[in-house]
Amino acid sequence: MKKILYRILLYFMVAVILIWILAPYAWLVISSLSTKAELISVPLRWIPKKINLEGYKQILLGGKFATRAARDFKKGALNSLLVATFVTLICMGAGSLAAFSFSRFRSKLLNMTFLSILLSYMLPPISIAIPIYIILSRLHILDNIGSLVFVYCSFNLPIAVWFMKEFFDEIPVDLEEAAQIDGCSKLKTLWKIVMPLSTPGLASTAIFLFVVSWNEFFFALLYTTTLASKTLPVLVGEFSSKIAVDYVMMSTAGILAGIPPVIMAVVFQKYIVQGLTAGAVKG
Amino acid sequence: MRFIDKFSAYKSKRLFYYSLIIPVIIIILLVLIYPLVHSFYISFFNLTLYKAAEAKFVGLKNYIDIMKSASFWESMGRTAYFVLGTVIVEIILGLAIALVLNQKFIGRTVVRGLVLLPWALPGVVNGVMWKWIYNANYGALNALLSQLHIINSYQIWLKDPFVALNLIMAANIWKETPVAIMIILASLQTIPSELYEAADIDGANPFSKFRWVTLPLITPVVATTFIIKAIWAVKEFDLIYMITRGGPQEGTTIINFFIYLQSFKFLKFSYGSAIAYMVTILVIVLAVVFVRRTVMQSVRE
Amino acid sequence: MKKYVVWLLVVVFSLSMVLTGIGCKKAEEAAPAEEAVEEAAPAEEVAEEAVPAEEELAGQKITVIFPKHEMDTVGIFESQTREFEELTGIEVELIQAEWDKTADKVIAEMSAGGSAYDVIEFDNGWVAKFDKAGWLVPLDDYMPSGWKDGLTPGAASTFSVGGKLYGVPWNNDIRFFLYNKKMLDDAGISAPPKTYDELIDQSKILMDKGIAKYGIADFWAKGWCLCNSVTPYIYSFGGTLFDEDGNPVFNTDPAVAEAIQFMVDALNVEKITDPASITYFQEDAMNIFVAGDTAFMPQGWPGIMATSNNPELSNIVGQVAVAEWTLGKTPDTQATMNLPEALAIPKTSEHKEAAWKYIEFMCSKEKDKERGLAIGSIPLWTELYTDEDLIAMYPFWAQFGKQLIYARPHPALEWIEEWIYNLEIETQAALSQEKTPQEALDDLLKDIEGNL
Repeated sequence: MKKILYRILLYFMVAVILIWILAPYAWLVISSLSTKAELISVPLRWIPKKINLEGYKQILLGGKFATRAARDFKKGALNSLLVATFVTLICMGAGSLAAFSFSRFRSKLLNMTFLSILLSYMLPPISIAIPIYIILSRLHILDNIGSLVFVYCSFNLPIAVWFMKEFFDEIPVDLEEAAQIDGCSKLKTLWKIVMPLSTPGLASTAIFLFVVSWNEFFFALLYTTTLASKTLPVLVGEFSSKIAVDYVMMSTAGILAGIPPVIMAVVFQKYIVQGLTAGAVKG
Repeated sequence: MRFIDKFSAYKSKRLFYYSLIIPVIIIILLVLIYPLVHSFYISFFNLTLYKAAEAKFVGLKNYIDIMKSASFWESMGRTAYFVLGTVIVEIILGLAIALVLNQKFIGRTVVRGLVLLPWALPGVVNGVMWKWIYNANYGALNALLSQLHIINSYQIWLKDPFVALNLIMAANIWKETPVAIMIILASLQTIPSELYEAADIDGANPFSKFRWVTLPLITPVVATTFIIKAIWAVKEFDLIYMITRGGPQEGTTIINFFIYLQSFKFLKFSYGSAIAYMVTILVIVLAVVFVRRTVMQSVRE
Repeated sequence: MKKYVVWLLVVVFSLSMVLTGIGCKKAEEAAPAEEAVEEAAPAEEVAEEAVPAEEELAGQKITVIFPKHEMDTVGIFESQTREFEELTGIEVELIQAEWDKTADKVIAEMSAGGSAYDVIEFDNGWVAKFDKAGWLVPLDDYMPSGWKDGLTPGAASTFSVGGKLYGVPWNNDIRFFLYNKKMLDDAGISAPPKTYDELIDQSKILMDKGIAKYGIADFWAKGWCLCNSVTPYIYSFGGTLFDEDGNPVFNTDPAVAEAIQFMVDALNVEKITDPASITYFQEDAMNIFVAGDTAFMPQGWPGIMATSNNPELSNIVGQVAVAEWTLGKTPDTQATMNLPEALAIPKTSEHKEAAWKYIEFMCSKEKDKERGLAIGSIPLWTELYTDEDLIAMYPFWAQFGKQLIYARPHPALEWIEEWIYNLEIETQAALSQEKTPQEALDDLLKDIEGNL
């Protein structure tokens, strides 16, 4: 009897959690399918009478009534994809090397370096936004996917290195030592032993990097001007004019813009949990 | 091995490991070294970007002015409230939800996946969404509460500075809790079930099991999560930029936004840089204190 | 082993080179264009007011950034830009976004001394700051003499410093007193109020009769909108913010405190102002008006006419009229806001002649009239206010013309951003009755002292 009560309570809690997580997002979806008139009606009707697919049609299919921002969406998505992918690759590549060092070798110099890398993470990036802007401007590499990638890498490397170091710390050194006795070079042990064993943790770091880079807004806004490099968050912000905000279009664009990171996170959460499991105990 | 060989083996080992960190160092330095050094240097001047020619060296004046400035301390106070409020609630909620998600039930994998959704949404989208939800005339919050007869008439949520701050915190909590859930859940999963079984044998009830088995084992993880989330909370910008822009009055001007105003809007670049460095120093001091305590705790365990 | 290290480093480095290479390509593309401009430049130096032949400019690329016109629902600025491209062969990268974000980008670029933009948004509030910073070129150097005569005087003078014009207006954003005529007719009121006292009386009549929910809805959310509301109130009570020497008198001039007191009373005592006004941006106030909840819109903009007559967006089709005057404490002190925006050319632009051609085209009488007909944007040129075609389409422009003469701008301050930031905070404090208007003004003086 107690067991049944317990199960009921459990499922109730799960339902509450689901509602809390999904309700605002559901509202966003509903908004994107409504017309503005319905959205500003009082009392609010939760399900729109007419499903309005205009927004989705404009963005996904283009067409002559689409606003420029809608037509630009596809290019913006491509830019976001490129930026997020490169940032992830470079941070994982360079970061895993550094994390390996910090994990496997103790020295004062390395400790200090690690600490200073973490320290650079603590400075509010806003304050260096203009100096970075000046650099990019003088080098004529504003409005460029490459510069955005570099800037994001420098912002995110500290935490990527920190995470990966934690995961590497979990792998016992004996395995590498055994392999080295068998003639493996150190780098080979990294490649063939440590990384495969910490794959879940690495996967979770990679997903983290991808999502964070995809979603970044303010620096993308500053450093991109044209479609050559504009990312999706910036485009989503453009569905408005001097006085008004086109909420229906913005929510449509927002949902579409959020699909890739949501998929990455939701579908690959298995790896995230696994990864955090492997590395989480020590903290 | 002879000593010389051992030593040179050590040296080449050291060289090897040092060289591995070079890519990271280069990337970070390349982008950050000039801005960091430049803005630190500039913080000792009184540069305002549209009268660049009039900038002159003023030493510590900016730092002293900041310490005397009421708006700065008010903003720091708000930020402290914001950071502590959101992080503590996120961790408590994260723990509670993680405990539920740690149980077995149908559809557990799906739910665990969906739980990440608020965090995966772009910050812009989050901002626009919450702004509309809190809208005084058409917002979903008003509609919901009045249709449930919890309130009589539509409220103007974002009118009062303190209420607005709390509502922004609520939005931030919704966005950031998934990370806490994931980390704590992962940590919960590493606790061997034998420990629980042993506790059962000793006749422990669920509450004691939590208090004496679970809690101690996840404390280090929770502590680390606390630090990371605190750092992220201080950096929070997108929500404020999209929803309230620091208002009403100065109610939601937390320190990151305050720096944006000074550096970007007023173009008082030196002053803004000085604030940033002061904040960094404070954050570092707090983090060091915290880390020390945590390290000492885990050493004890 | 060392080989692997080197190999890895090479991989990472080459990746970086590739990425930066994408950037270098862009710089290379810019170079040939620069050469073309340099070739044109010597020709210019020879003749003082020479305007280069059109053919030399074709093939250049300019980058233009300004916000989207609030009334531009059909993308006419963009289609006119494409027309310009076909006509001149100059390629235009047009960037239009929300005002705030556009402002952030323009200011960032100017502060960095960059040359990413050839034509930029130049807001009326930035004139003093940009002049001090010396970021713009005087357009007189590029325009045929006498070209600028005929621009509406208020707009032209706003963007002129020392007799030289630095920006050509593209948006003559003037605010007008609009009202719902049908509501007044239903209540038996023959004419809209001339003074604020009459405004209160009429609002109360309308509210008591259940004809309107509120007299007015104002836009008092934190942002420029709040300043666009409180400033005309102050002016129309006869208040002065700064004297001719730039000294602050807002805290000593009793009319200023009186104006703010009126706002507070209208909200809290007389209750003719929508209480949610403190969270409204400009569009929100308009939505309330066209939903038929409010009767008056003292600081409305021309676009509201079109919106209110669109049955998909409004409940009050055909009911809106434009008053022949604007509001004031007395008819002698009536005032309204003048918020023009202009196009300007930064000193750092590398395509100044092409940039001027763009401005000349977009702000010409022909294009201005075209936009007037298409979206109802009010003209930049004085003579268009009496143009037959436009008057036929917008008869109420006659009333606009009558209110125009009372339009006044924000104070010309270099530190305008700090001014509006603190004005917003103190006004909101007064509106929520945390401070009396005089206290708010005194605190405002303290807030901005550092800039005087």
